[in-house]
Amino acid sequence: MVVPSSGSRMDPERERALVARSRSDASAFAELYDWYLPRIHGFVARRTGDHATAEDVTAMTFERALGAVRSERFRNEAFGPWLYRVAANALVDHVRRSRRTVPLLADAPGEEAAPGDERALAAFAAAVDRDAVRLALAELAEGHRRVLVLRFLDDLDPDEAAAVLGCSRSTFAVRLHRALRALRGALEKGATDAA
Amino acid sequence: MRPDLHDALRRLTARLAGPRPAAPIGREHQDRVVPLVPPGVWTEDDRLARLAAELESAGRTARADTAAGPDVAFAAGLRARLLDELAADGAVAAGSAAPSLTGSRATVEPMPGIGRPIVSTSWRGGPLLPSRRTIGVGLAAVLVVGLIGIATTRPSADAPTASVVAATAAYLERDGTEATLAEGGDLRAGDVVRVGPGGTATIAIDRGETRLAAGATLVVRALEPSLVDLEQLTGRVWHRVAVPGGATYRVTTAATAWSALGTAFDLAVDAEAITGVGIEGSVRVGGPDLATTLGAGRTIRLDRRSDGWSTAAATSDQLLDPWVRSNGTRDLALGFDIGILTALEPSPSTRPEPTVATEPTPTEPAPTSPAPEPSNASASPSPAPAAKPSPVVTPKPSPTPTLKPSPSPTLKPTPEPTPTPDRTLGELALALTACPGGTVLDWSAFGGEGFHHYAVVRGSSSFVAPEAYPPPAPLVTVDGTFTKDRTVTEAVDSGVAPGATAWYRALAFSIDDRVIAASPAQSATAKPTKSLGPLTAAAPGAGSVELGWVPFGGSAGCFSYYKVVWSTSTATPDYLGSHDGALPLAEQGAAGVALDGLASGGTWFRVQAIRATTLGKVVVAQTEVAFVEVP
Repeated sequence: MVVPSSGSRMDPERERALVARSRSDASAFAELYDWYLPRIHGFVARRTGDHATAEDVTAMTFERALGAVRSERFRNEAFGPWLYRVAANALVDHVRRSRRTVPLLADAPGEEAAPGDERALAAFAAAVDRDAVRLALAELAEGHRRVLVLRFLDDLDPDEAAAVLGCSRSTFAVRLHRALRALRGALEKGATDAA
Repeated sequence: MRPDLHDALRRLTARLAGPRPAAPIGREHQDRVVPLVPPGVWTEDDRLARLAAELESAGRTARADTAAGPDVAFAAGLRARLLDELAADGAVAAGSAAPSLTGSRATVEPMPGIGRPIVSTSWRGGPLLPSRRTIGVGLAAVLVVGLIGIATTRPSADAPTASVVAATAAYLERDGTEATLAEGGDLRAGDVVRVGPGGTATIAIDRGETRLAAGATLVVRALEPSLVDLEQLTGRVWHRVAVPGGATYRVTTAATAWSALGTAFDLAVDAEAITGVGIEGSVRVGGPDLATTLGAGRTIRLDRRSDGWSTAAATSDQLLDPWVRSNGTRDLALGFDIGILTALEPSPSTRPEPTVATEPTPTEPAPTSPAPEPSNASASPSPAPAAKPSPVVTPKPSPTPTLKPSPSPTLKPTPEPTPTPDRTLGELALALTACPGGTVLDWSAFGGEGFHHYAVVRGSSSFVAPEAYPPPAPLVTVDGTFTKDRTVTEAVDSGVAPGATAWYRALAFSIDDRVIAASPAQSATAKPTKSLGPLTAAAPGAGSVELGWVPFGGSAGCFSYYKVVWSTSTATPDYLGSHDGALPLAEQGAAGVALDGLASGGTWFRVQAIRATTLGKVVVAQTEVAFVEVP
C-alpha cells in the first residue's frame, strides 16, 4: 500500500531541480512521478467512488504534467501545487464528461461543492472521534469544510491547498483560520444547545 | 439534540464513504456532546490549536482507513508510458523499470443518491491492467525484463514462493556458502542459483516456472507480494510467468531496459549478446536507445559490445530448438498457453512427463517431430496449427519463412510488383485475447518518425498489410481503434459474431494515411458473452438490498471489474447502456454485495463483468436481471 507520509512535501529546491532536469532526463521525471503518484491518486480516490475513475483522473493529471514539463512551463511555478490544481480540475472535467456514471457526491446544499468534496468530507467526518466535532463539521459552510478537508484530510501543504483553491498562500492561511474558528463556534453552539 | 442538527448529522452520515462505520449518534449519545474545553482555561489560539490537532488526528485515521494506494500495475504502466514519451523526446532513460509499489486495497464508496454500499470483499493488487504497459525504462547498463502478472486472480497478500522443483548439477549460494541445490527446497531473496555443465534447474515461482539451462546463473533479488525480482547473470533461462494478480515479474540482465506483456519468453545471456524469443504474448523492450516490442514468434538480439539491437521473426531453428520445444511441452503439460509453439504441439501420446526441461543442445534431435515449419511471424501469421507432427522424424528446420519471396531472380520481369508485407514497414507487435463478448487487441507503440495515428484492421482471413487508408474491402477498420496518441495501444473489438474467426493487423499511419508500420496478422475466434446465471436478491430492510452471484471464472486478462447496475426505469440495466446507478467491484472473486440507502420501489438489478481498455469496454459476463421491490 502506498501511503504518503504525513505532512511531507518534496523539498522545493530539489523539486525545482527535478523539474528543470525532467525534459532531458527521464529519471528526474520518474522521481517526481514516484513521489507524487500516491499523493495525487489518494487525493483523487478520496473524491471518487470508482477505482477506474480514480485511475483515469490520476493518469490524466500526470499526462498533463508531462505535457507541461515537455513544454517547460514550470520555470516560475511550483510543481506540486500545480499538480494538485490539475488533479482538482481533472476531477471537474471528468464529472462534466460523465456525470451520469461517475459516483461523486456533489449535491451539497448551499455553496457548490467541488466534485467529490462531500465524499471526502464524509470520510473525514467518519474518522473524527467526538460526535460534537462531527456535528459541527456538518454545520459548517461548504467553503470552510473544503478548507479543512484539504488541510487535514488531504494533508496538503499550504501552497498545495492554496493552488487547489486558486488563492494565495496567505489567503489560504486566513481561510483556514476562519474555518477553524467557525468550527469552534459551531462546537460551542452545539454544546450550548445540548445543555 | 436539536432536530435540525440531528438532520444535518443524518445527511452527513448517510454519505459516509470510508470503511470505518459511522458511530451511531442519537439521543442516547447526547451525553458525549460536551464543550471542547472548559471556558476560560484556554486562549482562543490554544483552543484552535487543540482543535487542529484533533482534526490532524482524524485526517490521519481517515487516510489510513481509506488508503487504497494506486494499483501496482496501473502505477507501473502509467510510469512506463510517461517515461516512454519523454524518452521519445530524447530524454535520457529513467532509472528503474518500475517503482517498488506494493499491492493495494480498494474501498467501495457510496454512490450518489444512495447510502453506504457494504461490500463483503476487497481486492488487493487487482487485475486491472493498464492498457498501455509500455517499456520500463531502466538503468543504464541494466537490462530489465518485467512482466505484470495477469495469469491469476488470487490476491497477492502473500509473497510469492520460489521452490526448487528439480535440479541436476545445480548449486545454491546462500549467505556466502555454496551447496548443492536440493529439490523441494525454498529459495529466498539473496539466493544465487548456478547450474553446472550438463545440469538443469527448475524453480517454481508461484504458479509459473523458471527453468535454468546448463551454465545459467540466476539471482533472486526479491520475492515480495508485488514483485518477483530476478537477475539473470549468464546462460539461458525459460521464464514461464504466472504470478499473483498485480504482482510484477522482473528479470534483470545487462544492457538496456525492458518490460513485457507476454507470459512466456526465453532469454539467453552470453558475453556477446542477449537474445530473447517471445513465445506467448508480447514483450516490450526499451532503453536509452531501444524501444520495441517482442511479440510471440519474434526474436530480439542485443549486441553487448555495440549496444546495437535488431529484431526479426524467430527462425525455425529457434522455435524448433530442443530447449524451446521441451519447455513448451512442459508448459503445455502444466496447462499453459504455448503461444507460437501451438503449431508444434506434440500429440498427447508423445508428450513427455512434466519434468525438468532438457538442456539446450541445438544439435540434439528433438523428442518429437517438428514436422510443420513455423511460419515467419512477420510475413505469415500461419493460421494453420493443423498438421500434427509425426512421431519420429528428425527436426528439419527450414530457414526459409513461408512467404519469403523466391531468392532466384526470374528472367521474365514481373510487370507488377508482388506485395511484400512488412518489407519496408515498421514493426508492431499485436497480442490478441479472445474474451467473452469481445477480443482485446493490444499492440506495441510505434516509436518511429512520421506517426499520425493507429487503427486496427480486421478481415475474415489472413491478409497483407494495406498500403494506405482505407483498407481494401473486405477489410474493415475496427471501431474504436483510431487514436492519435501513440501511447494508447489497447482496444477491444466486440463486432465479430461469436464463433467467427477474425484476423487483425495493427497499423500505424502517417498524416497522409499511408501505413508506416504494421503488425503481423493475428487471429482470434470471438466468444459470446458469458452468463453468470441468476442474480439472487434479498431486501432485508428499508432501502437495503443484498445481491449474490456466481463469480466470473474466466481469465483474469478478460476481467477488469464488476459493475453492479440498477435501474428503476428499464428492465435491462446495462453499464454500457441505460442504467440509473452503477457500483464497481474490483475483485473477480466477489460473489455478493449489500447495498443500502436505495430509494424504495421496484428496481431492476444486474451484475456485469467488464473488460476495460483505454479505447473501449466490453461486457464479458453478466447475470440475469433481478427485480426487487426495495422496501
